[in-house]
Amino acid sequence: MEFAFASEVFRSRIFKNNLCTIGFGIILFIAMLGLLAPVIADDPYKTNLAERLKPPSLEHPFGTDQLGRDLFSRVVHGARTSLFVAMTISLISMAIGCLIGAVSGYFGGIIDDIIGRIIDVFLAIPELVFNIALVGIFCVAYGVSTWNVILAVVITNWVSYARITRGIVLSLKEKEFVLCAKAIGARDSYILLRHVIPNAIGPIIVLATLNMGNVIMTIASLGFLGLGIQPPTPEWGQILNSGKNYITTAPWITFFPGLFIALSVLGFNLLGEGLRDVLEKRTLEY
Amino acid sequence: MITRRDFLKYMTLGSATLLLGCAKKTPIATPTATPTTPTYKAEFVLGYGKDHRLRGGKWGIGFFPKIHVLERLVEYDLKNDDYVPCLAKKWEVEQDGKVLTFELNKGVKFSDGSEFDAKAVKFTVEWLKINHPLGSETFESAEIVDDYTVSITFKDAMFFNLAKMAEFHMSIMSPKSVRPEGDPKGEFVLPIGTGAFKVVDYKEEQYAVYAPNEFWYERFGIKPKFKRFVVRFIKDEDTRVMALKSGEVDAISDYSHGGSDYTPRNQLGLLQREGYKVFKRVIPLTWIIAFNYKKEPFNDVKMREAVDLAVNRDEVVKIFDNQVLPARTLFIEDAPGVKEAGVTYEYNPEKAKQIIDELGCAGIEVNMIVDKAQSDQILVCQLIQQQLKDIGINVNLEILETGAYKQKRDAGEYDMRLYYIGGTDRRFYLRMFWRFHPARKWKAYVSERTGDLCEKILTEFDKEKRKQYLIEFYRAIHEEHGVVPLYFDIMTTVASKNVDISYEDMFHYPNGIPFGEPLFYAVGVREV
Repeated sequence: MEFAFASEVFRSRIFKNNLCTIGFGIILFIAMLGLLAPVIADDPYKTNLAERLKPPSLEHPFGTDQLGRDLFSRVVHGARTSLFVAMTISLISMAIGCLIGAVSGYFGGIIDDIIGRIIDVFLAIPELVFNIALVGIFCVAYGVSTWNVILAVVITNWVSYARITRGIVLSLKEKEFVLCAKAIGARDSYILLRHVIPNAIGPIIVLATLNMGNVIMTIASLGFLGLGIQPPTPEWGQILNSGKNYITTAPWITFFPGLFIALSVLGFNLLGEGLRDVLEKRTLEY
Repeated sequence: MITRRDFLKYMTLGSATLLLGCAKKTPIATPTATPTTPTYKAEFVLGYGKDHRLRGGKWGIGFFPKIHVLERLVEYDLKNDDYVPCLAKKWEVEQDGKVLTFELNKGVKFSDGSEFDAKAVKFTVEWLKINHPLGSETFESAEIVDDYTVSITFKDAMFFNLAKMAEFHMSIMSPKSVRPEGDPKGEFVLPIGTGAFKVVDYKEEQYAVYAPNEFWYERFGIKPKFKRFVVRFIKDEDTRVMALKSGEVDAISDYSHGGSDYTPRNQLGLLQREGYKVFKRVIPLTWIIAFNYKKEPFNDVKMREAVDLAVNRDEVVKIFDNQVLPARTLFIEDAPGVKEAGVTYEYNPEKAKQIIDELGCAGIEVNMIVDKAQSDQILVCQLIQQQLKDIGINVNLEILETGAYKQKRDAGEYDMRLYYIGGTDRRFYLRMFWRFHPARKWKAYVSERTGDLCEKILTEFDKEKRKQYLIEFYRAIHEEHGVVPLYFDIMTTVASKNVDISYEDMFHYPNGIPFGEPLFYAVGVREV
């Protein structure tokens, strides 16, 4: 029954929504490029100094960088890195944030007060500045790794999920189905996982989709500042950074990774907006 | 009524006027413009990567003021491997170099008008002995023989003592630079020297303002083209380039220490194409791959040889638009003994691969640490990573913050890293000591054989014998593949189009002594 309903929503609502379709199309396009990177692109690490700083051509559709590496290969492989890291961050943040937010909203009292203050502290610090500091600390403590970036961004990113989930749970816990479950003696953990969180999932999915764009921007910003994923691993922000000194002579080094960052953020934002429209409509109907 | 004759007359007149009007203008002869002396701005602004530490520090004031505010007793002529007079007229070597007696030039004045004499040299030696790491390990005492003769006793008897006297750190300052005046234990206030500049103002980590030292310019019979020389400290290399492009500074220059805080070499070609004046001089500073040669796998000479053979130096210099030269020898040709040694570093990836296969090390994983602050080195490391991959060595790059980099380097937690040997001309022997002597901390490579040769080089006063030791040393380093030379570095200054200075003035003292460090006594910014 639930599956049939979900599939009906997808068919009739999501794909009829223009924002959703365009956003989904863009993301699908970038994701496919990333997935097919080993087939459609060359080795992104292969240097060829004879081909240094070559403009876009049939041989190198996006041109080459200062080490003569094919930029198309680097940007397309960069999609894998950026999307994988962004997805990982979003999923971990969502899991942590939803759990903390649900516990905070459901139990209330001193637990809610403590979690609420912790959330306030995190929200008071500018996210990017906090990320920069964390990445720096992790690099010194644990050495250079992609997981430093993931961990640093997760530490700041769970907060928005916790805040939204807490708000939803606060209203859901007063609903009849929750009270009924309590009346028949269901355990709190069962009520939370079985009844409360599934009913809060709509807004969380919207948030997660919109948040993906933010996370991609954060990873790219850290990469641009030289704090994110380190060379030679292809990553959009880091490629953008490497091209900044050549902006007048070889603008393609900055243009194409910039374009892909913009496209992916646009794609996730459009999809998020569209999902919000669809899910809000569904909520209103009920 | 107009007759036909009038009509024809007017038509002819009109046509003639029209033709004259359409005719190409012939240049009107003007009197030839007499060449006028360009007018220069009162202020010259330089962007520089390091604070000048004009209030002193562990290693004294910065290198820029050491070169521009102070002078040394002797200077070094790399090409001839000779020490030439500067503040000292001549010198005598006694007790195998344990004692050096310097006869000083007369009539030289410090920028405050006081006389330069033996007292100033004695004060400087005593001050350095108490306050400076190099001074404390070098000097024993200084005695005044007469007003213009001073005898310096060193801790050890060696040629290296004379070489050290041309070093940045051994620059002579006035006893009035400290408070109480002339007290070697006194507090350092500001440097007062005999050099081209005098200090006017200074704000730590922000700026330093200098003015021409009239006594210095008078001594050499030249006139300064500026009234104030302002140095802005811009730490970030890209920001320095942007400051030049925006016109905030008239020129940017390398930190004379060599090997850091310089204009990225990969941008020099671009700046040149954009019309900036690029002054560069090749110095005996070679960027190398340094191995952690005491631990596996690079404690094996064959592994080091494989890396040496796999590096394509011609490719490395392409990163820098060929602005630097590939290092096929340990130092540049002008360095003593290099030509005669006949040692050439070869590129032979097939042979390198064969060695790796014979060692059974194909697919071996090694790590290479890089300092994130140096964008050039990050590019070089990525290229080397690819070149070594081709012979079966997988290099994991660790691009680290400067602090983390130093921590790993000092703890020996690396297999390979980029490093430099040598320096500007005056540092040739000093860095020989620092990089290859067994007793030093910042070593690049030391074996029993090379360490022994290094000791002999630094002891031997006889130029020819010293050259022979140098030749043996270059051969030993090559045979043991102690380090892998990559490229010869340069010292640069990039200046705006309206900055006037010749290459000769930029890299030569007015008396013709070649300097590895850029000199700014003759610069001027033309009024546009």
